[in-house]
Amino acid sequence: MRTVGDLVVWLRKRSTGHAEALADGAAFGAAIDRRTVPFDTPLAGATEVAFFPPFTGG
Amino acid sequence: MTVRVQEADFDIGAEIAALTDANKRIGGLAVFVGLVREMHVREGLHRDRIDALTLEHYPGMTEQALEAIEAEAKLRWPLEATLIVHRYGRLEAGARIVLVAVGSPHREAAFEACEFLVDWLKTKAPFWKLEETPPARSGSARIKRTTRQRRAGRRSSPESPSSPIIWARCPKGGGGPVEALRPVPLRPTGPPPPYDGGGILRPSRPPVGCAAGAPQRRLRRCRRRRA
Repeated sequence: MRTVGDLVVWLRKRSTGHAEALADGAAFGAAIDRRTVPFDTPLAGATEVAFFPPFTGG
Repeated sequence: MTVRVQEADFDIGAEIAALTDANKRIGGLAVFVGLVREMHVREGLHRDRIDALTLEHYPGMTEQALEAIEAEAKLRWPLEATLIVHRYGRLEAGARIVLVAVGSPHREAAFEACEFLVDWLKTKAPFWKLEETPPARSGSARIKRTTRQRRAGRRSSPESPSSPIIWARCPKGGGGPVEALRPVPLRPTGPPPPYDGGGILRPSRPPVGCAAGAPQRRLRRCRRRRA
């Protein structure tokens, strides 16, 4: 597992809920250490990875 | 230059006074206050009264993003003072959500920078909104995702959680921080398509059969025919 995208693929296998939330067509973003990143970003050095639905703004 | 993300309400007068008392070079202060409105306009029709909103944020990331856009505004305009106060939690119709105050020696910069910050906050800030509409005849109030979320999340179901959904921790070691401003949709992995020589790198010979100065649409059609 090298990138954020690899982590998504791995997480999908954990449960049907994971698979649904992180489905291929689902729109969601990712952050490493509280900075949004593209899915090809390497995980190396990361302390915290987060996935979230699209921002709606305030 | 202050950013605060808080659950508590704010006192507009006190915030403005604190901002301007500290800096006598401010000649104009533009202030925007965002409120939870009762009616929700959707596709040009008034439907679904909104009784309350619940705003969620990602502590740490939201503040960081707000500070970054504030710094950007300061680079673009000569600003003496900026203040962003954004609330989270359950907010009923009429409640204050956000305060943006921008002070500059002159009004133009204050107005423009204030609008810039508000536009960004309303569309791109890391917040997640849940709308609460009145109960349909019986039962409890419905909680819906916002229109923007529904549009963006084409295949995701309305039951999906709207806050950060999965957290994972990775072992430390190696690599460096990567910066990006916005999340991008997950793309299928694999090598990018080979470069076909198209686009701006192609030498710009006038396309055959096209008059110089012909409209762009026509030029494009001609190029396609040649290719």
